Amino acid sequence: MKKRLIYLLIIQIISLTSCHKWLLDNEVASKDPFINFHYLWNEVDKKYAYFELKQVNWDSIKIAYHSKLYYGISEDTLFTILGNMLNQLRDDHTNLISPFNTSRYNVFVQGDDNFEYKTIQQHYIRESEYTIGGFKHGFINGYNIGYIRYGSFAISVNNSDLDFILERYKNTKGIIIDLRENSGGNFVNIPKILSRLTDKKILVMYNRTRNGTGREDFGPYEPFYISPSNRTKYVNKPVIVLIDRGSYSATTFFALASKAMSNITLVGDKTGGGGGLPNGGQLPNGWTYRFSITQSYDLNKINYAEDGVEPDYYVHLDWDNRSQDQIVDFSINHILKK
Amino acid sequence: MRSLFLKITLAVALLTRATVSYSQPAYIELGVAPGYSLFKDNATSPLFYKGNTLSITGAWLLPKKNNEKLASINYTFGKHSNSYNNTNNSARFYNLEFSYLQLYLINKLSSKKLKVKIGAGVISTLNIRENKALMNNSLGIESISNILFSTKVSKPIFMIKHKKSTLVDELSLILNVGIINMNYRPGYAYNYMPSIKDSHVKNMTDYHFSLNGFRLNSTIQYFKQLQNKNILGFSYNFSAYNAPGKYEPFSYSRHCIKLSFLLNYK
Repeated sequence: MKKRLIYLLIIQIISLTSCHKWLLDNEVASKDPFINFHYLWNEVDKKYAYFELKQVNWDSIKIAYHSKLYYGISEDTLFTILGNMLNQLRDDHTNLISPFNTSRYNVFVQGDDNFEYKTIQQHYIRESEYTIGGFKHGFINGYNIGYIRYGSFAISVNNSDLDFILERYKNTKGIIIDLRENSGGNFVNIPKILSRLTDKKILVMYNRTRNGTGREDFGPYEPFYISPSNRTKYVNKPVIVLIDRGSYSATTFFALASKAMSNITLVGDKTGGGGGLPNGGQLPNGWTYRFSITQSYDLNKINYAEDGVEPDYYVHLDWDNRSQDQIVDFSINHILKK
Repeated sequence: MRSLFLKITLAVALLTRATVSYSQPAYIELGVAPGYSLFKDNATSPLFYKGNTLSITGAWLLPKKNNEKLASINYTFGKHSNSYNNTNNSARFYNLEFSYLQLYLINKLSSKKLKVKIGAGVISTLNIRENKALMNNSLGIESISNILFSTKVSKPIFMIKHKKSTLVDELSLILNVGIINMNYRPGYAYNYMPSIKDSHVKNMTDYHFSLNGFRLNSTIQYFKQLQNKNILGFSYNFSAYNAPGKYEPFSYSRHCIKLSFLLNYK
């Protein structure tokens, strides 16, 4: 019996130490350019959300870029080919990341530059500027209007910060929320701000997520509502939101939601887009990637936000006159007319 | 009716007294287990992430002559990495596990020198992984639960101390195999970003239960009886599971060596 037990012990130790090799799936780590190309192409094919909206022929893109590959290709060249293939999606939520480079489409550099904060500081809010959390804010010089700059949705919105800011401007004729060149971040911050600008629950958009291998396979339209906050609010007064081509991702979502709120007016340029939530993954060679997997829709279930949300009024900066921000000037006049 | 109630109460009281008078040991176990584990979540990466872990275990053990019960809670944490092709990505890994096993002595297969027990149990695991390289999929969460078929083969080892007392150490092999394997994994798009839905931004909105996969858990354990009736335990444990989910599988395995102290509180 003792011998049997010893044998059993030995068998178990030997089998267990090598167990995971036959129990678990095989690893497919590979630097082979063709394996990595197919892996990336297939992932995008299975999950990307905007083939139809952007009229992207992913199959012909595969043929075009596959023909550029060859064995012995350098990592740099492979990266360029894969990155350029992804850029055919015209989507800044799509990136390829390696230890030596990051690919991006750069929608922002293809649009006009419409923001210079120094002009705001020097000629509009001057010494009234306060900084709190991710916000810079102040009274617009000579007018009873509040100016609030939120530069990045990546900076968490603190409720007590919003209480302070909205309390400061409670007696103004209107406020300007400046989201130009706000390239996005965490969209948890969107309802935090918008819930302070309404006193009733409002349906603001729909979203749906890719859920199958067919390029038009999506889940149901998920409605998104903004519910009024029970803290300090700014309602029944005009709110101007400034946007431009540098307003991306969460800022595009914010602009899309603002379209559904009657007290908010969008001024500036079309947002950069980024109306799809991205995912994230890794290739067999260790490089990482992401691309959009959801679609956002307005209240009429029209899908345009990925290409950018249009302002209610198009206004551009005149770079020959650095002492004025024509977009802010337009917004001041718009508030005063109300 | 009243007399029947009194008889039952009396019977229960006598039984309880009898149990007390033949009190079996009961242990509370505290243990630490350094280990090495690896995982692969095919939904986000075809590569294995590997690293050292540390587990902290708390358990309640009730061994009786013909059966034994074991309930345990296990917390494991560690950092796993993959450096393939100089990419140097790492994931923080947290794992919380609850299990309960009940084993019964099989007299036909047992002797004084070898005890064979079989039984069943449940185990439930929650994994939380954070890999910033995966950007909007940086957070990985899954829950895996299994109903186990369990076997334990033990060999008592008699150690004579000071000619008077005989302490019984025990060497055991324990094998648990999942017979019903459940997992709760993300949906097709696999996005752990919160969803824009209803009035709130919600997490984990597209998760699915699946009944598939496997789980294997095997332990070689040596219990050394101390003169004060407590126990020192040394064990090697290997566990592995695969959760295919509805779309893409998650695989995990861990080797660890556990040192534990079992306090006899009866």
